[in-house]
Amino acid sequence: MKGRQIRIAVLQFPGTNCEYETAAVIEAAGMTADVFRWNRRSSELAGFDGFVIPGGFSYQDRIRAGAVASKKAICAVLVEEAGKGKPILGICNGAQVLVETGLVPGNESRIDMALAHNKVIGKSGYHCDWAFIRNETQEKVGAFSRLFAPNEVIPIPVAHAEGRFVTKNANTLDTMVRNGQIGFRYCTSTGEVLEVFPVNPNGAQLNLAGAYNRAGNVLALMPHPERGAWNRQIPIDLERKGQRRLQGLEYSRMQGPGMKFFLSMRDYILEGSPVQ
Amino acid sequence: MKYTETIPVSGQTSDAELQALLRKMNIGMSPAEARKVAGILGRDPTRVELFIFDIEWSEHCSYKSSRATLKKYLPTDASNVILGPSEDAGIIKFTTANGREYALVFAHESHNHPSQVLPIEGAATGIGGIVRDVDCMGAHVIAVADALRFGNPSGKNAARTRWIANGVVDGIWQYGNALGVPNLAGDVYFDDSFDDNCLVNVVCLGVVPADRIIRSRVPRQAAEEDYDLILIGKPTDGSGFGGVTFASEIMNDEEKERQLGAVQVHDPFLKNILITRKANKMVWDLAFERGIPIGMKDLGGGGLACASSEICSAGGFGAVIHLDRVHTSMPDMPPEVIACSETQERFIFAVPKEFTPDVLRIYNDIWELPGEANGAGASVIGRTMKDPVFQLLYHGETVCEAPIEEVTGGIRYERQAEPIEFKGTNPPAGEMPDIAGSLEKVLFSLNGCSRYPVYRHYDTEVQGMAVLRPGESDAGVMAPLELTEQCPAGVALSVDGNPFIGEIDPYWGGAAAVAESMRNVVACGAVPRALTDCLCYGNPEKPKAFWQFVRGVRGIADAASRLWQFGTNKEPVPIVSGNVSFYNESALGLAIKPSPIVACVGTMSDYSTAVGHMVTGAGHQLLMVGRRRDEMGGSAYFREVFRVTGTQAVTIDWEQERKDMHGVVQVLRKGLATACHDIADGGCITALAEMLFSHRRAPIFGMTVRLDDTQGLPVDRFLFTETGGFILEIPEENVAAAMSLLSDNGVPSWRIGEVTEQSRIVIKHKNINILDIDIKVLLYGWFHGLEEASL
Amino acid sequence: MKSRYILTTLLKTRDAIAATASYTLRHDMGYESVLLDAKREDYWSIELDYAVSPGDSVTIMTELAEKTKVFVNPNKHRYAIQPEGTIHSAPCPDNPGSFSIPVVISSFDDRAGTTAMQTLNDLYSVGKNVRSVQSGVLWTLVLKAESLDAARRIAEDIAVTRSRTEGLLANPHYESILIL
Repeated sequence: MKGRQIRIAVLQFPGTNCEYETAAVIEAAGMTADVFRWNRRSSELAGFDGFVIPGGFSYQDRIRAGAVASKKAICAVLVEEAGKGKPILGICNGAQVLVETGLVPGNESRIDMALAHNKVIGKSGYHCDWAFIRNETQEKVGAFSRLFAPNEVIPIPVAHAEGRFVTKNANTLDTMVRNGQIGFRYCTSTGEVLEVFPVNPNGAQLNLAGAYNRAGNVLALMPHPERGAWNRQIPIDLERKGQRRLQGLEYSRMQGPGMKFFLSMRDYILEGSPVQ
Repeated sequence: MKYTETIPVSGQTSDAELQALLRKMNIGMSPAEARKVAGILGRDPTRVELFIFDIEWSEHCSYKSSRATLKKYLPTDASNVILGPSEDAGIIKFTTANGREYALVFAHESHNHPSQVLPIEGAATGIGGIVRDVDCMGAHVIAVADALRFGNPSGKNAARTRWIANGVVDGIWQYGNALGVPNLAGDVYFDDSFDDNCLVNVVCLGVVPADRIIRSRVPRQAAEEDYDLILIGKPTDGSGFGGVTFASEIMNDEEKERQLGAVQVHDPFLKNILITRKANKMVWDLAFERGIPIGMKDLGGGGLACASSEICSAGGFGAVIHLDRVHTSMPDMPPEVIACSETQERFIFAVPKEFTPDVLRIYNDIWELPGEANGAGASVIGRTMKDPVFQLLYHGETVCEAPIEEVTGGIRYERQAEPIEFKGTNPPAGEMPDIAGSLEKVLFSLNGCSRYPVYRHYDTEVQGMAVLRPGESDAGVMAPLELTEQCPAGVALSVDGNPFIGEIDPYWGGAAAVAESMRNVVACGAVPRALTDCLCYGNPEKPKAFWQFVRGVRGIADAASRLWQFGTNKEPVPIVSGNVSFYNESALGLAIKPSPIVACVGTMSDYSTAVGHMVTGAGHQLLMVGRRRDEMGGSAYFREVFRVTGTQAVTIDWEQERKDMHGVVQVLRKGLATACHDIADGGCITALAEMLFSHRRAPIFGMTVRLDDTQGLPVDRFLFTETGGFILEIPEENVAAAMSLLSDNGVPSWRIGEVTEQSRIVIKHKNINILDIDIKVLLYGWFHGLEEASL
Repeated sequence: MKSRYILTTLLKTRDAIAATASYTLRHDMGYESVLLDAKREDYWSIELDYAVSPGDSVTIMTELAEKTKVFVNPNKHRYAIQPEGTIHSAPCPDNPGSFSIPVVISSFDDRAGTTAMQTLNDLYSVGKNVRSVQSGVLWTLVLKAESLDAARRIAEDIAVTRSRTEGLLANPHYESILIL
C-alpha cells in the first residue's frame, strides 16, 4: 500500500462550515482531500479510502443537530463504506450526523444515543473554548487513536450547543466500555476525569468526548482536532508558561496535538486492515 | 391598472393633506420631498416610485444629514487604500504571498433599532448584512466583531434590558457560528442611556486576492453586449418592508407595533450555502477562469430597488426590471413590496447573457436551493440598458420610470449645530478611598468585568486561523493565509468606543475611540492600517445632537490624521468604510450617550511576533509607556467609586501618542517584549491586574509594582486615570534594549515593577504596601460580574 | 379545578424549521403522499398557583403572554391560551381522509422551562402566581390515513427516531414524545 495516494472525502452538506480547514489538515497529514458535496453521485464514494464529516451546522441544526443530514442518500452509502472497514471521522456536527445515522455506537441500524443540548453553568446555548481530553483506547485500537499513548492528555477546542453524549439505555454505555468504544473523555490538564463544568464542557455521560463504533473504524468526536493541528492555534494561556510567542515562527508552524488524529487515520489505511 | 396610477402630490393639495396622504400610504417623506419627486419626474409619481424615493432619500440610504460633514473632515485616502468608502466595503492592501497580492476588505454597520424590538433577529440580521457587504466584493469572509451597548440591567427597565442583552448575544452567535465566521473582537458597555436604544454594531473583515476583487457596478462591457440582472437568494417576502425608514425614526411603543413589517428574518443556513466558499465563489471562479467581467452587489437597506439602481448607476447604465420575475414567497405581492422589501440573504449579479445559464445552474441545480433552502434560488429579473433610466415593470406595465442618477443621487440637508455645555460634578477634593476596595469596585462592575460570559458563545476557532482570541490579547489576531498559502502575514482586529468620554466631550469621545482601537492593535504587535466608524447619535434635526455628531467626526478625523500610519510619510490611517446611525432616542426624547464606535485593522508580516496581554514569566520587568494625566472625567474610578462623572475627559497629546504607538510597535516587532496591554478603562492598575487574569487556569503569577514617581499625581489618580498608554512585560535581559529603542523614538518609559511567582498583586508607594491582594479574589469577582445582566 | 394552561406561540413569518422538516420527510423519507402539512409551535405548559381562582387564570395567563418578555414577542409571534387537555388528534373536517395529529416533544432536561420560571421569579411580579413552567415543541402533522388510529401511528413513526430511515422529529434518548 505504501507510496500510493490515500484519498479522503470530506463531506460537505449545506451548512457545513469546517470543510476547508479540515481538508488542509488532511493534506498536511500526507493524504489528499476532496471536498465532496452531499448531492454528488454517491456511488463515487466507493473510490475513497476514508471519510471525514467536518464540523458546522448542516441544515442549521434544524429539528436537531445532525438529524436532517443523516436522512440524505449519501449517508446510506456511508453506512455501506463503514461496513467495509474504511475509517470515518465525524467532527462536531459530523459526530452528530454519525450518531443520528446509527453508525455510532453502531448496533445494527438502531439509534442508541443522542448528542443533547449542553448542560452548563450559566447561560445555556453555544459554548466555545479549549478543553482537554484523554485517550481511553489501548494501543493500536481505534483508527484515529493509534498515535496517542494510553491516557495521553490532548488540548483541543470544543464549539457546540448540542454536544452531550447521552443514552437512556443503561447497558449501552456498559457495552461500549466493554467493547473499548470509549475513545476520548474530557479531563483536566493533568488527566483527571471530573464531571464538573467546564472540565466536562457539556455534561456528557462518562465525560464522553469521542465514541467509536464496535469495529473501531468510525469515531464520533465532539471536539475539533483540525483547530489544534498546529502550535499557532493553541491559546497562550493553555500552556503553563505561555511561552509560545518566544519560540518564533518555526515553532508556531509545527504540528500540534490535533494532527495525530489524522496521522493515525493515514497509518490505519496504510496498514490496510480493519482493527479488531 | 391601479399600479400605474399616479398619486396627486402636485397641484392644489395642501401640505397637511399631502402629509396625511403620505402617512396613510406609510410613506415617511415630507410633502416638500414628495413634490421634489414630482419635479424630477415631470409628473406625479406612481405609488412604487414614491416608495422608492422614500427609501432612497431616507437617512440610512442617502446620509442626507451627515454626508457633508463626513466628506469635509474624514481622511479616506492613503497609499494602501484600494477602495475607499464608495461601495459596500472598503479595501486596503495586505501582503504578497506566493507572488500574489492580497487585500483586506473591511465594513462596519449598526443594527440598533431592529435589535431593540427583536433582539435575536435584529442582531442576527446585523451580522448577516455586514457579512454580505464584504462577501460581495469577492472576498473570503474571515472575521466578524461586535460592539454592544445595553441599558442598565438593574435599572427601571431591568427585565427588558436583560431580555435584549441575552437576545442580542444569542442572535450574534446563532448567526455567525452557523455561518462559519469567527467572532474575534468586540466590546460591551451598559448605561441607562441605552435603555430605550441598545446599540448593536457589527464589523466584518475579509481577504481577497487583489486581482479578484469584484465591484458593485455593471462592467463597461455592458455597453457592447447584453447583460442580464440576476437576483439570487431567499424568495422575496414582505419582511423588512419599510426597514430603512424604521432605522431612521425614533420609536415609541405604538410605533414598534406598527412597524411589524420592518422585521427582518435571518437565515444563516442559506447564507452559508451562498458565501462560505460555496455557491458565490463558484460563480466568481468560473467568471475569472473565463475572463468574463461581472458585477455583484448585496441587497441591504432599500432592497432590490436600491441595489439594482446602484449597481447599474455606478457603471453608468440604466436598468429594466420585471418585478413579476422575482422569486417570491407568495403569489401576487404588490410591486412596491417586491421592489423595496428587505428580505435577507439576497444578492444581485450583472453578468453577460451567455453566462446566465451557468449562474442559474450553480444556484438552482448544483446547490439545489429551491428544494434544500425552501424556495431560494436564482432568477433572471431584467437587464441593463444604455439609457440611464430606471424602469420597473409589473405584469408588462411600467410602474416606475425615473432617471437612474436621480434615484441614486439622494438629497442633502444642512443641519444646525448648537454646542452643549456639559455639567458634571467632581468628587470631593482630598478624599482618597482605599485602593483595594476601589480596584474591586472597578473590576467587578458591569463595565469593568470579564466579557467571557458573552464571547464564550462565539465561535473563535472556525476556519482555523485564530492566533489570539478575546481574553488573550487586546485585539483578535489571525493568520488568514497560513493554511493555504504558507504565508505568515497576520491581521489584528479591534473595535472600541467608550460612551462615557463622548458624553463629557464628544470631540474627545471620537478621538479616543480611534486611539483606543489603534492601541489595541498596536498592543498585539500589529501596525494600524485602516479604520471604519459607525457613528451612533440622537436626532440630527435637533441642533445639540447634531453638534455632538459633528464634534465626534472631527475628533475621529483628527485622530486618524495625526496618529498617522507607522512607516509612512504622515499618511493617515484611512477611514475606508463606515455608517451613521441617527435617531437613537426614546419617545421621551432622551438620546443615547454620543457613541462613535471605531474599528481598526492592523497588519503584521509575521503573526508569530504577536503577543497577548497575559504575563508569561516570573522575574520579567513591567514597563509603562504613556505619561499619566489628571483627566478622570468619565473614568471607571469616578463612576464606580464616587458615583460622579467628573468634568475633564481624557485627551490625547497627538505628538506623544503617535510616538508611543510607533515605539511600542518597534519593541514588539523586535521580539523584545513577551506581553503587552494597553491602558484604558480603569487605568493602569486595571491593566496590570488584567495581565494576571486567565479563565483557563488558576493564577500562576503575581506582580510587585513600585510607585516611587507618580508623575505629580495623587496615587489614586495615577493608578486609575484613563490616559492612553501601554504596559509591556519584558524579560530582564531585554529591558535595556527596549528602553533605549523607545527613548531613541522619543518615547519615555518607566520601570514600574516585576512579575512574581506568588499569585498576589502588591503595589508599594514609597515602600509602603498600598495594595496586597490575592489574585484569586480579584479573578472571582471579575469573572462573575456579568451575572448582574443574567449573562 | 384546572390549574394548568397551555400557551402556544406560532411564528408570524414562515418557519424554516417546519419547512425543512416537511421537505425532509417528503423528499428524503417517503412521506410524499402522506404528509400534507407540518406546523411547529413553541409549547409552554404553565401550572398556576392553587390560590388563583379560575376566573383570574385567564387574566394571569394573558398577562404572562403580553406583559412579560418570557414567552411571546408580539413582533414575531401569535399566541393562544387554552386549558390543558383541549388539544387533540382529530379528523380534518374540510379534508376527508386526513387527520390533524398534535405531537409534543420536550427534552428530559427542560432547560428552557427552568430558565423561564427563574426569569418570572426574578423579574416579574406576575411570576408569583406560577408554580411551574414546562417547555416543548408542538408539531401539528396533517396526515393522510385510513383512520385516526392509523394517523396517530404514522405520527409516532415520524416523531420517534429509531434508525436512520425511521423517525425524524425527536431523539428518544433525551426527548419525550407525546401524541395528543
